[in-house]
Amino acid sequence: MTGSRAGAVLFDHVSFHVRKGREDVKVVDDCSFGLAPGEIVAMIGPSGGGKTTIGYLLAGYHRPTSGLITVDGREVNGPSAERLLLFQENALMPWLTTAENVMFGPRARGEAGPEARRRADAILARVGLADFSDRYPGELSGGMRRRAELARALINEPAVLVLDEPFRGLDAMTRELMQEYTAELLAEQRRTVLFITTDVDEALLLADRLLVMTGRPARVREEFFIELSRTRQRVDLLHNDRLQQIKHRAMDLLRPPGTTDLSVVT
Amino acid sequence: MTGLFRLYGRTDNVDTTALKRGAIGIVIFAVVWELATRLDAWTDISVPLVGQLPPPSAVVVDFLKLATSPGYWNSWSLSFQRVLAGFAVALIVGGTLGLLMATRPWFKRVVFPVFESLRPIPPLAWVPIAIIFWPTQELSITFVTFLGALFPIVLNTVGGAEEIDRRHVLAARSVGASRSYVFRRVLLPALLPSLVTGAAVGMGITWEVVVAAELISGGGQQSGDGGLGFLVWNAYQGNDLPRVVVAMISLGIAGYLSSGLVRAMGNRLMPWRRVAS
Repeated sequence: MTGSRAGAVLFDHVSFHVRKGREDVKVVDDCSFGLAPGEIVAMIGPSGGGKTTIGYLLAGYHRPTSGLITVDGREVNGPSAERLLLFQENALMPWLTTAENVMFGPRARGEAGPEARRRADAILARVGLADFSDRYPGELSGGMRRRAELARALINEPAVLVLDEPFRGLDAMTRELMQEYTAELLAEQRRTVLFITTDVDEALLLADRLLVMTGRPARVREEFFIELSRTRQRVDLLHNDRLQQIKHRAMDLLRPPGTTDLSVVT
Repeated sequence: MTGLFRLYGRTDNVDTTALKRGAIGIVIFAVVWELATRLDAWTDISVPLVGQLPPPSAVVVDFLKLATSPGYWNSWSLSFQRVLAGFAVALIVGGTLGLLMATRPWFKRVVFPVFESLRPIPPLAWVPIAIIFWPTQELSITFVTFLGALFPIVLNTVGGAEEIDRRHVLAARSVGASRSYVFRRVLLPALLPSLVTGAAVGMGITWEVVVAAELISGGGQQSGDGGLGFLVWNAYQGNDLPRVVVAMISLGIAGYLSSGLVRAMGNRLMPWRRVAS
């Protein structure tokens, strides 16, 4: 279905300012980067640094103050099912069951035929929620809700998926499981993914490329190509030299200036 | 896992232990009341306050007498009609105004100040105006009960706007939902809990107002069946204390049934609230 929609993203000298009283606050400043079709790119940076704003810009929820954002050469102009964003923490609609949440997009567009229902069933089965399709979000665990949200986005076949710190607020155990699970799910799809995170390990586990951002105003500080197959294991983070190298370098960049260099200790 | 959720989430079956305990409490209350009213006949001690009441047995006897009189049931029906008519109109008018204000900022800016300035006026202060406004006493009483329910319904619904999760609206817009679809499928269900809360509060006020209105108005043309509020007043005038208590308990039951109706309505409209945390 993606066919013509390849999902090539371009941020071309994008700035985003907000007015706070009389002040003009730069949240994103002269930020340029691209995402190749089907590429999974992790964006890592200090929290409160404007990464979510970049996600919102790509989703079309904000309009850049200056610069241009395009997907497959067309300017991003408002929200679209081609570019879907998964919000931080649970954003399922509590009044809809899991299946109804997944069917929200097709229903909203008047495409709720048996074909859409079959696809919803298939996706729910893929994320392991087939037995929970008639449950309300209030009855699901944190990890289940995140999977339901993935399903709710994926049924719309977006060319670009923005995941905004998707595992925030999950306990450590669920978080690790969800990281591995999502890595597997994304690896089997050809979908452009912008993965926003504050966790270097998570980024190295999932991404093809790592963008290390500056603090506010956000812009790309450095990028790392991971150049490893997507079927990475958690143990690789400990034993793979390339991942280790990138991790140390990224951590150095992320450490606020002035703090002691802890890398000599490890 | 499924069994666990059933255990915690869906509590459709009534908790029998709680029911038993509640029944025991009521029985103890009745026994203590009975003893308190009989004590001064047996001993020299007279219990203050409660001792002056008729014993519950006398109340039951009077109730059985009343239960065969059509006038008593007519009072039930009259009061319920007034309450439900006022409440239903308040729900429609107040719900619509509340939803509009919660979702249209410009509408709220224009209408809300008017509401805020009328709100502190107690519904009963409207009685003279209500009598001037409407040709029949029945309509006047219904109008005042309508006002009693209107304000809590509107204000709660407007307040519910804060409960709207902006991310739900954004997500809906992203997948191609139209404005009216967002209103029906996102804003409306998000505001429903506040609307139902307002309706529950409004229903309580409606009963207060209808009782007072019946006391003031004399309850209608025929004496004796002018509504439950009038029944309290009429029995008091005739110095018939058991009947006063019967009428009071009837009002309690009527209020309980009405709020049960609102709760049932809410549960039906919001199945997700029964299972949420």
